[in-house]
Amino acid sequence: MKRFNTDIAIIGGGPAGLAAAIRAGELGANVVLIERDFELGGILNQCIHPGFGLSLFGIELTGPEYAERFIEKVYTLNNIKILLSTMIIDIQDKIIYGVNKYDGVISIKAKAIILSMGCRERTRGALGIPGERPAGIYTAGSAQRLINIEGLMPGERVVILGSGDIGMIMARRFVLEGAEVLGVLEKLSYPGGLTRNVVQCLEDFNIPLYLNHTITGIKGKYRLEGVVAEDLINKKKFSLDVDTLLLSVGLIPENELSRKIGVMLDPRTSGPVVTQDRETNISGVFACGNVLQVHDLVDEVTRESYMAAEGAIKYISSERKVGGIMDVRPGENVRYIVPQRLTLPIEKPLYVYFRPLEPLTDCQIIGECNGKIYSLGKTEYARPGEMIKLRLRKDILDSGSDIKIKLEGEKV
Amino acid sequence: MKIFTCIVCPVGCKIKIDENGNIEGARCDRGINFVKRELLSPQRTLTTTVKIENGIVKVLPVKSLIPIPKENLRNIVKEVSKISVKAPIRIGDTVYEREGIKIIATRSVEERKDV
Repeated sequence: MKRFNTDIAIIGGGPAGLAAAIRAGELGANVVLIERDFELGGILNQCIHPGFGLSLFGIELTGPEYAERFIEKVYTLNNIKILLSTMIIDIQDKIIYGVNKYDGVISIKAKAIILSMGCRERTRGALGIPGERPAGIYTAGSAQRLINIEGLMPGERVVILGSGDIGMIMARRFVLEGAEVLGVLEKLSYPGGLTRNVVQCLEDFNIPLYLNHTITGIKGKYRLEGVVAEDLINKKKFSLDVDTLLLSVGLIPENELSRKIGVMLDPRTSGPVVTQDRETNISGVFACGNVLQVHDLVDEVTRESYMAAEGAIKYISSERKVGGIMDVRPGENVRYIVPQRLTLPIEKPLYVYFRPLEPLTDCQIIGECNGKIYSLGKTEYARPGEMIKLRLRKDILDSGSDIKIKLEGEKV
Repeated sequence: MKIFTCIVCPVGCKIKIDENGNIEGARCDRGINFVKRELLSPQRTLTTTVKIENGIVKVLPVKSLIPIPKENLRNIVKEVSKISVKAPIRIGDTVYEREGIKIIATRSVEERKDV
């Protein structure tokens, strides 16, 4: 068995793994970056649409362009060893076991591990739509892969369930490739993805968005022949004659490996519970990107991954001071908060990331700490599809007590 | 009065413009420029894929170098879908150019070695 020894092993070579590897490499650590695909870049390679990099680089890039900036950089750093086409199958203590066609079974002994495995899509099974199991039902991301990577067209008459960003982006993509998109159906009363995608993907192409609608039936034995849609307000059912159904109904962090090694997961994010350094409950194991929390913007994935890399460097250089712990908990109207745990002393400006449970306007962000109420800021609107980033005030951090953050506002 | 949702960045400002041309609700100048363009000639960056021969991937992602008029998107995708390029390709290489519209590669593709 081929054995590697390194300072930091990074599992997953998408945007999170790439950023973590670059930051750790630049800070002088030896890094092994492991990717299961034959090339780096992860899901960015199939996200050929623009909209990436505005916040980090100030220019609008497509997914592959964003990825290539990082891929080029990672190959210039000599202290980063890249293992492609390599699947990690187990982790025991800080030894990672993997397999690839060049070396067979390999082991990587690392001082610290960064988990950056990303997420995967919820499937039909998670929704429990009854009916036959014909061909023609895809998650939005698999259809995206078929068109943008494999060069194949999955169907001609399409309906999309769920108004996540990938679903809306694929609606536009199908239309541009000559298919007919009958509509995007959303169970909730508001779209799941970014507003800009409602405008530039649906409205631009006259694709109807049916809010408060879902799909309750599947027709067709071998190939999809139609779906039964339901208006949840008026309780009316109608048929849509389609050969393709795309599901854009949410993403789940891919934490099989994390679970295996005893990483504590937050049921709200389905990702690990982490500190401000993005360290999990297992000392020396860090997590960043969509494996930790499903992000809206890759720019934030990159920033989070820099934090994880810096945390891992601090861990292996044993410069860490060990103080107390403060918990950060979601209060009213808050779906989740990352990081969930702060370790003292806090040496840098500290930001927390959270989402509202449902859309709110005229929104106050309120902190509760040690029985005291703090006004932490306000925002004109808060939407579940758009993560809120908040710098925590020093006086709260100095208190050393647990913090609860809640939102107050008008429901939309 | 007309209301636009700005698509320049993910914030998605709701921008109002009234009969006298007063613009309200934009958090930055890019939003004001966006509304002006939307009124005169709405433009979008086009992204699609083209065939690539002998590359390590089967299709090459491409985009228009600058945004193009919205009403031309479908026609140009059709035009561009007819072309085929050969690996190796460098990111930024021009793969199509006609009447001021330039389509460039958005990734590099190496030549396939196993053939």
